[in-house]
Amino acid sequence: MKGLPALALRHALYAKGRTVLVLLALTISMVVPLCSELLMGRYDQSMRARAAASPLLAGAEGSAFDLVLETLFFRPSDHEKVTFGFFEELSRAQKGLTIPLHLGHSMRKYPLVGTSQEYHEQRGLQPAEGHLPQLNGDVVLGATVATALGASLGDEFFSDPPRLYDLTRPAPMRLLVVGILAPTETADDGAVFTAVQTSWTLDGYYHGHRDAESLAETSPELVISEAPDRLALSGALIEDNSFSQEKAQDFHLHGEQSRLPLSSVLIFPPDAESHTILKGRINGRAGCQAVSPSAVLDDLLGIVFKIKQLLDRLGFLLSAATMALVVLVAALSLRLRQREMQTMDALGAPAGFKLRLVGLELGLIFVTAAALATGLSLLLARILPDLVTLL
Amino acid sequence: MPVPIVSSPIILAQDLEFRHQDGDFKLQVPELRLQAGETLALVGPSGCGKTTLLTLIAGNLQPIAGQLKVLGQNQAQASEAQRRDLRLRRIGMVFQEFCLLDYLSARDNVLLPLLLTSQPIDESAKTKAMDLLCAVGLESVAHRRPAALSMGERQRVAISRALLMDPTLVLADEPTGSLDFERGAEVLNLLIAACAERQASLILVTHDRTLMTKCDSVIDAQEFSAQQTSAPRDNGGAER
Repeated sequence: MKGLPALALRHALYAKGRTVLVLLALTISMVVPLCSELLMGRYDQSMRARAAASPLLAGAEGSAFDLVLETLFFRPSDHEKVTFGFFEELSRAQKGLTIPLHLGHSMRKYPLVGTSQEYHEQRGLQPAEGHLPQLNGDVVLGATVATALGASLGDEFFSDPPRLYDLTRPAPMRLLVVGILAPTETADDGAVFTAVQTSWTLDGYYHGHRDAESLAETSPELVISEAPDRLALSGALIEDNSFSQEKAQDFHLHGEQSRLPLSSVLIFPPDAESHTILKGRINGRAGCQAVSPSAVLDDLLGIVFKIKQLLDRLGFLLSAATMALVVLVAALSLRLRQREMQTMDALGAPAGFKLRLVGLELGLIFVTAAALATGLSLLLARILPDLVTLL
Repeated sequence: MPVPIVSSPIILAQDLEFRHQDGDFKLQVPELRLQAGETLALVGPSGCGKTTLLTLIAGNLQPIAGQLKVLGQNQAQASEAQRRDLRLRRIGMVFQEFCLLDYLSARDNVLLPLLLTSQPIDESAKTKAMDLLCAVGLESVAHRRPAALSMGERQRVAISRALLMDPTLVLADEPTGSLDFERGAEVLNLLIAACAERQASLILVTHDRTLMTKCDSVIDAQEFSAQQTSAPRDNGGAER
């Protein structure tokens, strides 16, 4: 190594405390804006792409932000529900493909999304293993969920209890993993998909019954009345919501399916005209709204980016403070190294050698900090939890 | 060994004048000559101008009047860059406080002048530095930093550093000032022997009159109207 770089490197390594202090200060001042830029860029891109792939969204009146974030990113929400009848009505209008979505349940804290097969087709979700849900109780795991749970086909998991101390709610149910989706780098990777009927079963709307005859034999105290063609049992203990292939067809509902709840309806109009007509028609109805997710996200991201601008300004102040620290350290270093510099002068070091030496040393530290900051930012951008789930 | 007489002196000062900026101190040197291979002791009490004269010769200061030729270069007219270059490549410097860099090993301190020229440090340079350290008996501590060396060892490293560029002239400012008598004599003997071996001229600033006896000539910087005198090396240089 030639003179200047060799001397600069030797001194940087010798003055470890000072070097580490400056290196840390510089790295932190670079990581903060770099990381926020990378993260915001990533989320901006992924959120907009998701919104663009969802042209129209219908749901109950209320916050459009909540509706979009719940439907597109499976964010928990207390947004009002629409009915399955509303979905049927939209389907009958034949203004595009309609997909029902029922959210609100979870499995091992991962959102359980009740939907139809068309959702998977529209989102391009292909099972890497197994198949899509076919029976009540079948679930297919997003790639991230499968990895996190270490799940494989045939595994069973209980749904999370909606309210732990509410005895009127159905107990957690066993769900069978029938498929694992290929990764898509979208919110779908972090969700568990099932049929809408399964979600309704978890709500307590759909249910099955245990075998009445065998129950009468094993638990005669449950028999209320008995006739040759009829057996009446206590309604308290005979409901059976455990899923199995044999019992799948027996699941039923007391009431009208059209009154069952849905979180939202995804609509894929074939053209702009259908989009406009459908949107106008839905918004004209009381208690409903239709939104274009892209427009809603534009508004949302507009707010987020205003906050980011503020953070950027704070980041600028942080950088300025760091630079002041670096200048101070350099000045103090020059004072501490005065004797060394005098020696160099006395030996005949070329003019400007000392400044170049200190400059190069700081430059080396700066380049190292920049490399560290870049690596750290890329790493953080990868490992930080999905921003949307934190919202 | 008689000093070789050459027509062109290594140092030639005539009617040299220097005044500090605060005006308190004025140095006047009517004439000073130093021939190649000659050793000269500059003596005198503190503040009489010994170090100032050495600094003028090294080109760190510039005279206000007169002529000062060092190794053929007129220091009064030379540019800053020329004076620095002459100092770096042809003049070896030894200081009372050794002036070693704390963060370099003994060997790398010896290599410092080469580092300052921005030349790559190749194997031959490293070998040369080791040879110089070997010559002063420091090969075993070549990789130690100055803090791990004794005062005498540090000064020997400084002498090795002064000799790295094969200088024609060595300027030593009280090189034994920080050492005890025994170590001082040892270091001085090494310095004089090394200069003699390389036919390099040596100017030695010292308070120690016993050391003067080892030099070819002695000048009392207090007078500086006075003249340089020659003294036989073996019977002790007398201050005149």
